[in-house]
Amino acid sequence: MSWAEIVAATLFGSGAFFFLGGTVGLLRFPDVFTRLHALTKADNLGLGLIALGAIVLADSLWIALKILLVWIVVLLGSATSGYLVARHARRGSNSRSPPP
Amino acid sequence: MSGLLISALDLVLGLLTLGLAAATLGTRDQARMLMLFVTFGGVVALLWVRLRAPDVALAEASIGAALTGGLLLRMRPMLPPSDGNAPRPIRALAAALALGTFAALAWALSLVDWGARPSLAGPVFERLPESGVTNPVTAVLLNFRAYDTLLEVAVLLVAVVGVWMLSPRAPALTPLRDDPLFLALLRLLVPFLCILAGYLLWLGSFAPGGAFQAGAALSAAFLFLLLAGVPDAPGQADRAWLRAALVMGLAVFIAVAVGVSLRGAALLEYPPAQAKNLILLIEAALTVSIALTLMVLFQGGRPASRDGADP
Repeated sequence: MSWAEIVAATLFGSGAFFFLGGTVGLLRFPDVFTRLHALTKADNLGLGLIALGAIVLADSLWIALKILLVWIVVLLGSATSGYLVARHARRGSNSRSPPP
Repeated sequence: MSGLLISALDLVLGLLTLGLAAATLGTRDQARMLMLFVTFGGVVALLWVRLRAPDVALAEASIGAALTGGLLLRMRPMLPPSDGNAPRPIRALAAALALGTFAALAWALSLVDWGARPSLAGPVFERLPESGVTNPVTAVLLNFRAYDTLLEVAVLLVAVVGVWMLSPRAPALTPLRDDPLFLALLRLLVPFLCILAGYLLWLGSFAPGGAFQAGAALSAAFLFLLLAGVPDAPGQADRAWLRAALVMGLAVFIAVAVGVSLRGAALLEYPPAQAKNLILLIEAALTVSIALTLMVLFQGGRPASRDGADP
């Protein structure tokens, strides 16, 4: 195993750990808002670490930049959709426990 | 070691696919069913990646999972509420038909002598230089078997014409018009998706990509504008250019087919020197038509007429 592979494997493992944490939060937390909190934070960090691992293994700078771009687009999309889900829940439909 | 890991990954993906299919069919809640279906599409796209069919994976992810999921979610309020209790004979009949089809297909596949059948991959790669593109999938879809794609595009057009004629207007959406965060996202994402569509279109000639994937990306941009309540965005008003753009893909395809046959070649037998340009021309027209077709399908009927009044 080369150094790059060891670094990448470590990053993949840490990324998977955060995904696992986010999923546990999604399954265990009681309402929409806490679930979103778990998902949006942990999964974005997890994906970032996995993207970083893939960048370490990338063949060229060009591919590395594309992977980085994918992560940024997902960050933008998931941050906004997380906010939209929370807004929808706050306005009173689909929320198990309405906000105070 | 890595071979073992890959096998484990394939096993997990296969089990996940079967499990998701069973869960999708087993649940009685429509919303849950739709979410499971979209997830199923995502996992199937990963399966296609593992089968080294990235073109199919792209199409499955963009059209099979994302856009079909969006269409189904959009249509859910129009569906009658289902308690999941269809009459027992009907459920038995559906199950029998599905199992019968599966058994017939499995039986037919088991009869095929895969060793004796010549693979078509050899001839495709042999003639690839004549096709004008270097991506074998695009070469087959837009050149060697362009006839099939031409008919597929005609089917799409018939579908959108049917939707257009059957229901006069799309039911009202609740646009996210007032939302500053959503609009801020769109200012970044819509131009990005337009560039992505052009990139996928261009990429199709030498790597996985092409008109269907590009059309899906472009329609995503249009859908964002629809949700944001931008009424002047493409595909939301019944204009002459919208009707023309819906037909354009098929029209350009047929024009090329007739054009090359007038010069003495067979239908859709492009002269190799111009093959790449002709394929890109057809794919560019198809991208726009496919994007707007998906847009009309998503609205579930003919868009409102020019002045915004219902026809």
